[in-house]
Amino acid sequence: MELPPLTKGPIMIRQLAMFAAATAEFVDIHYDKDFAQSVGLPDVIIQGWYKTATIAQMLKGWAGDGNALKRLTVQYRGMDVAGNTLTAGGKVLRVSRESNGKRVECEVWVDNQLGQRTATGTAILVLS
Amino acid sequence: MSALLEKLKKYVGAESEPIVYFIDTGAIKFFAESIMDPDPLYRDESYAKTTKHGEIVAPPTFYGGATSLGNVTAGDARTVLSVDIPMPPGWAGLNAGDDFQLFAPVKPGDTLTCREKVVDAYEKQGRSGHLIFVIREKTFTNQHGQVVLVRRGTSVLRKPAPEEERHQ
Repeated sequence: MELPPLTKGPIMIRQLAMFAAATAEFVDIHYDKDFAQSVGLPDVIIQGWYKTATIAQMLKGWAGDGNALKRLTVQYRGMDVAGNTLTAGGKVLRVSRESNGKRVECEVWVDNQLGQRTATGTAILVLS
Repeated sequence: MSALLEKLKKYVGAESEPIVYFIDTGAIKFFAESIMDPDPLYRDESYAKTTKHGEIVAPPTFYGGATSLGNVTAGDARTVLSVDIPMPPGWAGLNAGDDFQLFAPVKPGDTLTCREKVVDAYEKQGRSGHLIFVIREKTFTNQHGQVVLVRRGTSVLRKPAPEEERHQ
């Protein structure tokens, strides 16, 4: 079963600068274009955590509760640059009964507007 | 094992000084704004009271922002990597993955103490050359002594290919 996807963007440098402050992770390649290019990157790149938080938001939309998410494991497979639009998606892999509810394991991903899958992973949710 | 990996292996087991985060409604709302999540649960106390949570809770994966820091300043690099591993000249580091384990909701009024530990370092020969992976684990404990979140991050260190070096 596919989960309802969540699309956001284009994600501009302003948003990445806000995210840097919102997470207390100031890493210049995420908001300083000159610096990013000086270290060989094509442009400012979107934080990996931004993509993980977007997957978590997509899962919350489906589960109806952000706290249903118990584990989210994401590999960053490709870089996304500022200006990209991201779509978080997923599908249910297996469901099992547990004492505290229904345990759902999902495959999750992020695709950009070019059709590149730049993040993949797995999520575990417990739905009461 | 490369000489570089041998050097990095010495950091496995190294633990950071703790970093303290004071969570408030402003920091939660600002994180939600930064990821463009309009959910009123993250910003409207009277709405939050009508939900099963009964109060504002943070979006999953959030554990505090620049205004939350208790014992370091907002720009302190240790909020990203508390255990400093010296990067060899000409090498670049990137975030290759995250593994968040969420044990309890993060709420306004919480004080989270983060301890970071280097848990592994290994190498691979990839298509883009010699890659070194460093795994770090951040454990966040709240004011009740309960572990609320564990973030295991993978950094990949690589030496840019010769055709990329002209940009350096």
